[in-house]
Formats: sequence, C-alpha cells, structure tokens
Amino acid sequence: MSIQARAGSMALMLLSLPLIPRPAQAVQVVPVPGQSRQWDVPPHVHFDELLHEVFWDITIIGVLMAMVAAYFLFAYRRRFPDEVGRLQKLSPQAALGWMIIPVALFMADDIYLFAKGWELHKQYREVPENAYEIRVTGAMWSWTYTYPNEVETYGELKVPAETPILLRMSSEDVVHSHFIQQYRVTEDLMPGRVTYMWFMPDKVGEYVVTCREYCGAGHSSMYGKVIVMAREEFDAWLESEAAAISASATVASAQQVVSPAADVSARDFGR
Amino acid sequence: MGQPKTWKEWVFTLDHKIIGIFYLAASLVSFLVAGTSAALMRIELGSLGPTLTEDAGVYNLWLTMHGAVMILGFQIPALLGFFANWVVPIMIGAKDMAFPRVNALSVWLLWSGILLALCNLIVPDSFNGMWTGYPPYSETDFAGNTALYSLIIIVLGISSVFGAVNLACTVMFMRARGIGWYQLNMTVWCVFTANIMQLIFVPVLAASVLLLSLDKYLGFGFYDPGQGGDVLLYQNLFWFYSHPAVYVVLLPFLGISFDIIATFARNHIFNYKVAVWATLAFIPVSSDVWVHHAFVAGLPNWLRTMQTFTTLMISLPFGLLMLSMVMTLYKGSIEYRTPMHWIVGMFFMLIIGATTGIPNALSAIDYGISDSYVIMSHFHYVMAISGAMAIFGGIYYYFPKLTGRMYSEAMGKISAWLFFIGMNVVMGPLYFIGIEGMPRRYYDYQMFPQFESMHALATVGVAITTIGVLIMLYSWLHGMFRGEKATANPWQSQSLEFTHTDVIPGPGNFPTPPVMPEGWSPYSYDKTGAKGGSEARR
Amino acid sequence: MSSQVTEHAHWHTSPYPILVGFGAGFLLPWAFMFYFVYAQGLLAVIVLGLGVLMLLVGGVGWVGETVGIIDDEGWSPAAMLMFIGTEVMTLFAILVGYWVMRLQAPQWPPEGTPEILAPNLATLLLLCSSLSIGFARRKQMQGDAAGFANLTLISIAIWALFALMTIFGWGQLAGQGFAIGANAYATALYGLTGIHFAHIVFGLLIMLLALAPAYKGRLSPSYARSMTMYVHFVNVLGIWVLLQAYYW
Ligand code: HEA
Ligand code: HEA
Ligand code: CUA
Ligand SMILES: [Cu+2]
Repeated sequence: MSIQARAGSMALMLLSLPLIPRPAQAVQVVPVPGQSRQWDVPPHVHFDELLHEVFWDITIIGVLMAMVAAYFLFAYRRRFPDEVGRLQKLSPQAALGWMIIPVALFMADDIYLFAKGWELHKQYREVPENAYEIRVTGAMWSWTYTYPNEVETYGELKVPAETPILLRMSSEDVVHSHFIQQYRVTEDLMPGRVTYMWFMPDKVGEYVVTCREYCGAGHSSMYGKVIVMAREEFDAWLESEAAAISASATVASAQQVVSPAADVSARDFGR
Repeated sequence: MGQPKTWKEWVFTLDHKIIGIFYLAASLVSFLVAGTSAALMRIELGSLGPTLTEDAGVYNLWLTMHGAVMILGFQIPALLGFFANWVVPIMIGAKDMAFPRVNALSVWLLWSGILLALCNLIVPDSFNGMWTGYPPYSETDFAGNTALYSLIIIVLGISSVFGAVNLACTVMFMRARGIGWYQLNMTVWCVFTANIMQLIFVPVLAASVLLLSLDKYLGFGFYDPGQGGDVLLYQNLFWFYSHPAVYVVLLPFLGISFDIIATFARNHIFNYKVAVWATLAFIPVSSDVWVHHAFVAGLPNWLRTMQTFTTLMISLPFGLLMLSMVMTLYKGSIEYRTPMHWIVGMFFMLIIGATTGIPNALSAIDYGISDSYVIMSHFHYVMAISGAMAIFGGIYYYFPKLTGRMYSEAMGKISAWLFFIGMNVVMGPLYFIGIEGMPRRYYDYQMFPQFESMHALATVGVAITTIGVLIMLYSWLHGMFRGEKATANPWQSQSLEFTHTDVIPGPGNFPTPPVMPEGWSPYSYDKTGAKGGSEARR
Repeated sequence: MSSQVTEHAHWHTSPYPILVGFGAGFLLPWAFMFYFVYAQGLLAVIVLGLGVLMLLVGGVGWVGETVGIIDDEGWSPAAMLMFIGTEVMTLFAILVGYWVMRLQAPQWPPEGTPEILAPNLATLLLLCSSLSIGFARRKQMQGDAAGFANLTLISIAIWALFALMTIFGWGQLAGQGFAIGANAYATALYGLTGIHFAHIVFGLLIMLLALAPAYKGRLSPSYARSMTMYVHFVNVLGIWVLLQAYYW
C-alpha cells in the first residue's frame, strides 16, 4: 500500500506544478540613470587596472603550479627499471586537510576577485545621471546613431568629450554587438529587446567600433568610428546637422524616421 | 585472438572494442577535416585582405565546420566514444557494454551525424551560422540550411544519450567481482560523470535546436520577437548545455591523463577520494554558470553578477583535480615514453587555458574581451590543445592494445613537441591581439592593420603543427604495419586492461571473468613486489 | 596472466543496429530537408520511404533477435529511467520556452485566438491506458501471456485513438484559420501537443514491436517493465500538456 500512497502523492505534486500562479513579468534589463553616482575614474581606466591585477593573480597561480610540476617531472625521473613510486597513502585527516586547505585558499582568491569584479561591473552598468543619450540601431551590416534631436549618422558615432555617453541599442534584424576597443565595452543588440551601455570619452580622438557578434557575411566589415570632439565643436556640428534636416523636413516627414524605440513596443524600457 | 577476420564481423559488430575503433575512425576523420579548415582559415588570416578567397561566406563556412566538427565530431566522439567504449568496460572487468546493440546503434548514429556534417560541404546552401547557431541569424536565409545544423545536433544528441545510458548502466551493473566504486580508474569516474552530464544537458541542446528548425521551416515563433518569442531564449538554452559540454570534454581527457600519469610515474592517484568527489562536483557546479557566455547579451545585471560568482566556484573542484594530478608525480618514478610526453604538454597547456578562464569569468572584464581572440585563445588552450594532446597521448598509450604492435618512440615524441610548440605559436600571439581588440569570427581585419604580423606568426605556427600531425599519423600507420610486436603490458601498468587481457583483447575481453582480490586497486604499484626507490637507494 | 582465449569465444554481430542507425540518423534527416528546405516532394517521399523501411526492418529484426532471448539481466528499467530523465529535461527546455513566451506576452491568449476546447475527454481516455497497461503488467507477472498481450493491444488501441483525435483537433483548429504561425499561442499549442504526439507515436512503436513476442509469451519482463514506465510517463506528459496549454 505504502508504495501506492507514495506514488499517489508524487503524482499529485507533479500535477500541481503547472498550476503555480503566474509570476511577475519576466525581468528585463532597464538602464537606471539617475540612481547612480559620478565615478571618479572612467570604467575603461579601471578596467585596465583590474585586468592587470587579474593577470598577476592567475600568472602567480599558473607559474607556481607549473614550477612545482616541472620540478617533480625533473626530480622524480625513473632511475632503474623496476623502481616504483613512493607516494604515501594519506591518512583520513591528511586527505581531508588536503581538501579543505586548498579549497579555502582558492575560495579566498575567488571571493577577492569577485568583489573586485563586482565593483567594476557596477560601474559599467550604473549609468551616471548626466549621461548624454544616443540611440543605436544595428542592421546587417551598419550602425545607425540617432541623437536626441533626431539627427542620424551612419557608422560614425560623434560624441562630446568629458560627457558620459549612454547608448540605447536595438537591432533591426539579427544579433550584433557594439564593441568600442578604447572604452573596453561590449554589449549585444537584438530585435525585440533594448540593451544599453555607457562610456566616458575622456580624450578627443578617433577610435574603432567593431561588431562582435557573428552576423553573417558582412560581420567583419561592420565597423565604424567613435569620434570624440570637444564639447563646443560637437554642439556646433549637431546644430548644423539639425538645421540641414529641418531644411529638408518636407522630404523627411514623408519617409517617417523610425527610431529604434518606436518599433520595439511596450516591453522596452520597463514601462 | 586479435581483431575480427571477416568484414561482417567488422561492420555488423556488437563488440564494444570494435565499436570503439569505429568511433576513433570517425573522430580522426573529423579532426583532419576540421584541422584542414583551421589551416585554410589561418592562411586566409595570415595577411590582410583577401588571401585564399574573396568571399567572406566561404571563410564563415570553414569556421562553422571547424568549430562544430572539432567539438562534436572530434573530441566528444574520441572521448565519450572511443575511450568510453574501448577502455572503460575493460577497466571495470566487464565482457562488453550493458546493451551491445544500442552501443552499435550509437556509433552508427554518430557516423550518420558526421556524414550529415560533411554534406554541409557539398549542399548549395551550406549552413554558415557558426557552431553556436544563434537566431535570428540562423533563421534567416543568409545562414543557409539551418535544418542540417539542427538535425546534425539532434542525431548526435540521440547518439550520445543512448551512449550515455549504456555506459552508465555498464559502470553501475557490470563491474567485476571485487571492484568497488572506490577502486575504479580515474578514467572510469571521469567518463561516467561526463556521461551523467550528457544525460542531463544534451536534451536541452536538442530541444533548443529543434525549436530553431520549427521556427524556420514550420512557422513557429519561439525565437521570433515578432511572434511573441524571445531571441535570448536560445542563448540561454544553448549555453545551459554547451557550458557543461566543456566539462564533458574536460573530464574524460583529465581521466585519461590521470591514468597515463599514474602508469608512467608508477604512483597511485594523490588523494583519490577527493579527486573522485571533485569530479562529481562538476555536475552541480557547471549547471549554473551558463550566463558567462552571455555576459554581454543584455541579460539582467543580477544574473550576470550571480553567475560570475558561480563561475568562479568552478576553480574549486578544478583546482583539486589539478592538485591531485601534480601530486601524483610526487615521489614517482617517472618514465618518459611518448604518451607521457603528450600528457606533460597537455598539463602545461591546461594551466594556461584554465587560468585564462578567470578573467573571462568576471563579467566586468568580459565586457572588454568578450567574443575576442582572448576567448578564442582561452578555449584553444584549455580544450582544443589540451584535449587533443590528451587524446593523442591516449591513442599512443593504447596503441599496442589496439594494433598489437609498437609505434616509433622517436616519431611519437617529435610529433608531440611539434604539436605543442606549433599550437603555442598559433595561440600565444592571438591572445595578445585579442586584448588589443581583435574580434572573433572575422574574415578580415581592415580596421586593425597593426595585427597583421601577429596573425602571420600564428599562421607559421599552424605549419609547425601540421608537420607534427603528419608525423603522428605516419608513426601510427608505420607502427600498425611495421612496428615491433607488442607485449600485453608494455608499460607495466597495474590497470586491468593491461594486466588481464591478451595483447589484443578478443571477444569477451578476458580469457576468464576476472575476480579481483581484496584491496585490489588499479594503482597499487607499491604492492607489486618491485623495489621502492627509497629502499633501493638508502 | 593473459593466456589463451577459450575456443568458443566469438565476435557477436547483428546487421540491425546499422540499419536503424543510418535509416533514422541519415535518411530521415534528408527526407525532412528535401521536403522543407529544398521543396523536393518526390525525393522526400522516396528517401522517407527508404528510411522508414530500414527502420522497420531493423527494428523488427532487432526485436526478433533479442526479445525473450537475451537481456534478462534486468537492466532495461534502469536505462529507461535514465532515458525518461533526459526526456524530462527536453520537455523542461521546451516548457521554459513556452513560459518565457507566455510571461512576456502583454495579453494571453494573444489576439486572434479562437475559442479552443480543452481535450478533457481525450486526455481522460489517454489516462485509461495507464490502467490497462498496469493491469497488463500484473497479468504478465502472474504468467498470463495472453492476458498481457490483450491488455497491451487495448492500450495500443487507446493511444491510436488519441493520436487520431489529436490530428483531428489540429485539423479543426487549422480549419478555423488558427494555423501554426497564427500567434504566440499557436506556437505554444502546436509545439506542446506536437511533442506529445511524437511521444505517442514512439510509444506505439514500442508497444507494437512487443505485441508478437507477447502473444508468444516470449517478452522479457524487463522490456515489459520499461514499456510500462514509458507509457505512464507519456500519460503524465499528457496531463501536463492539458494543464499547461489549455488551463493556464
Ligand atoms: C574544455 C573546455 C573548457 C574548459 C575546461 C573551460 C574552463 C573555463 N572557462 Fe571556458 N570556454 C570554453 C571551453 C572551456 N572553458 C569554450 C569552448 C568557450 C567558448 C565558446 C564559444 O563562444 O564558442 C569558452 C568560453 C568561456 C567564457 C565566455 C567568454 C565569452 O564568450 O565572452 C568564459 C567566461 O566566463 C569562460 C570561463 C571559463 C572558466 C572560469 C573556466 C574554469 O573551469 C577554469 C577553472 C580552472 C582554474 C582557475 C585553474 C585551476 C584552479 C586552481 C589552481 C585553483 C586556484 C585558482 C583560483 C582561485 C583562480 N570560458
Ligand atoms: C576541440 C576543438 C578544437 C581544436 C582541436 C581546434 C584546433 C585548431 N583551431 Fe580552432 N576552434 C574551435 C575548436 C577547436 N580548434 C572552436 C570551437 C572554434 C570557434 C568556432 C566559432 O567561432 O564558431 C575555433 C575557432 C578557431 C579560430 C578562430 C577563427 C575566427 O574566430 O575567425 C582559429 C584561428 O586561428 C582556430 C585555429 C585552430 C588551429 C590552428 C587548430 C589546430 O590545432 C589544428 C591542427 C590540425 C591540423 C593543422 C590538421 C592537420 C591536417 C593535415 C595533416 C592534413 C591532412 C589532410 C588530409 C589527409 C585530408 N580555431
Ligand atoms: Cu554585426 Cu557582426
Ligand atoms: Cu562556459
């Protein structure tokens, strides 16, 4: 009987699972400008520091292990044909110790690395309040940047120096990934979702943008430039572009500029 | 007894050893096909601008074939096919696998999958969506024949599920009398664990690619936002399998390495029980880290942070295994035959590869290096080179049992070091240009002309590797037909497949079913009556 | 230690696994591709026919060779348990797909979904096969081969009926213009019922292959036990599909 009873209750449990009440809307990535602070060091500078630190960490671990191995490999060569190994069996306590102590050490290092990584992660993901927002649309195989005043550029992202830049990104067709080498930052773009990244253009200059998610035959030619300009220069440029647009406004209104936000419905910004 | 005589005994075989040989054949064919495409890719990348082909699509086809065939056609069949089939039943004293017919079915399904994969080279619309096959790209017409991709993976998936069920039953039910769970070779434990992982995770992969074809060809909308689906669902399902898959590859090749090291150092495995439990720990630990392949994919921040932590935790069991491996050398009596050379190379590559996993694991660092050559170099060190070196070392190790003859030591060692050096010359420079920004899956790199010299260097590395591979193949062919006759236990191993079988094990493996005495262990070198070094010396 | 091998040791062979392997692993995929990718209907039918032929010849031969003769170590149930475990994972993955779709939808069911009747009766009928196969197994354990075979036949009939009802239901929905691509709900509904249908077909094969040996009283207990487990599993799956796709 008891087997049947157990089977019965198992079956009941199994059956009730699908009736679990509907949880909240699935989680979406929502940029949260406003909540966060000003960062004193731009993320990409912090990135280089952390990367070096991590490299030191793993180099020490790796070199230690390699040296020990190399020493053993050298010191314990076979000396005569029927020599056998002399490794002692560990006592139960020793066996346990050889587990707990290494695990504790590894764990300590992991937690240290995690804490460091988390700090930088927050810096990458929490957007400063005064960020200047630009929309990015990826399509096979080019980038479109849309400025707040609906000015658009293709393949050239012009930004003012010393201002945090927030990119809200979406894709018209397949997954792409917006990578700026100078700012050590990558984030994918895809249809149906809006993603974001931010960076701090601290120096005037021209930097490379490449696509980092495979998107077909044109993947390796889907690159462009980030052009960092002095603030006044940028403002002047944006204004002249806007003027050019309003001059040809009659044509433009017929074609309807479709912004990335327009075609990705209510799921996007959490609203 | 030797090998079967008639063609029927070969083709219709139900014997696990012959099936193992068919797996090995499949995996070597795959290695050559995928390796040739690697060489073509490297030549293409060796200089800026078009070199071999003007068409990026051709490059993408090579790369897709290279990634998919190397993993699904070369490494998994070699490890979970050849070693699992040929070695494991003998190691546990079984006469065959639990379900010989199912075993034969598995290998023919594998061959079907490989033939399908080769068809990708001849169909007019070859699939070029990479081994990861992300939608929406793979659901567009640009990607080519997505059905082929899905079906290859489903067929191979079914093959591995059958294989895994079979092997798990074999290890659970067919151990010889006197062989308990703690008396198993590390190879057995690692293959067993890897197969349990296959059982848990393969179906998710099969489901994820099945939905891909349902979407593309039958009008379903699982991954299509326009129909209420979600692009990211695929990435989550795919990596839920494909992260554990890297340990499905890792564990068996570590297992073989453990056994080879134990044999050539004539030592037992250091802290054996902890090593066993560390192996098993990979099952839970690896099930909750898949997001580290999608750190930049737009998933919620809490998920990225959480899985950064869980990913770092993999270093615990991994570290314990590597510790056991190093310490097995301690006070050993190490003899340097060819298999040991390959395994030593494997170990140093593994150190580089595994530790370079750590920067990737930190989501913040990954933002700067994701999908760059850093990642590419990481997994070639940890999986491609280490794995290949362990597999080739393992093949040399069992060569006498497979062919009844010895290979040439000189050629074996030279090929090991050419492979090792060559692959370092390929992957070392690529790591550094990865940090400088070289993206993966690029047919050309106009925007980074400064990388040309490093790319060229890497291409030279492939030439060295290729020579190594050719020497290795030649040493096998030569050994097979011309080699000296081997003895049943050329390495004086204590493991059952050497101590209790013929030179070439025949049907049923053992002349009489083995019964192991109390306290037997595959690593009991100190009990052989041979002199321990210490007594002999002092 | 290794010396001569006993003389009568020989290599075991069987031509059937290779037939099933290439039939199912190579030809069926090509049939799918000819039809859906290359629009070569005729070629698809030929290749499909060949594949199914190989599968059937292989399957029947396989069963003929094995059932009641070997495989009585009783490992099949453990294997079946593992297999069901992997099945659960497959379905879990597909359900996750459904949940993601369902939970992100602004409204459910989405616009354009007609009134759909839940297949309560069909599912109830399906559940009866759990009873019949359970009794069948009891008969078998009592040594009543014919009783076992008859009850298996009844289970087959129930499943076949259910399969027909499923096809009929699809036909009706499609007739209302609610075909596969109609909306997200269509994706989920056809997806879930389709997967279940595939399991029904596979289970029917398993039972059909057992039928002849069962009447002869030669079916091994472990085959019967695994078969029973599979039938129960697919029936539970049926309840899941009902609750998930129609009542949630
Ligand atoms: C056998 C294969 C294998 C193995 C074992 C690993 C091991 C690891 N891998 Fe790797 N990885 C791959 C194969 C493998 N990987 C592949 C194929 C890809 C790319 C797929 C694709 O996109 O095509 C990939 C990609 C990949 C990524 C994705 C990057 C991206 O796409 O942006 C990440 C990120 O976290 C990662 C991390 C790790 C980590 C943390 C480990 C860890 O397991 C390593 C842990 C080991 C150690 C750290 C060393 C030993 C430990 C100690 C000595 C203890 C002390 C150490 C510390 C405390 C730090 N890998
Ligand atoms: C297990 C796996 C494995 C193995 C062993 C290898 C082995 C090699 N890999 Fe591979 N690689 C992957 C798995 C593997 N790779 C994966 C998963 C990817 C990612 C794919 C993706 O992005 O989707 C990748 C990507 C990849 C790239 C990235 C390309 C890009 O992103 O654009 C490169 C570039 O250098 C490369 C190179 C090599 C080289 C030089 C070898 C060498 O070790 C190969 C050595 C072998 C040979 C040189 C063959 C010898 C041939 C002969 C002797 C010819 C004889 C011929 C006949 C008899 C017919 N690999
Ligand atoms: Cu866009 Cu790659
Ligand atoms: Cu991973």
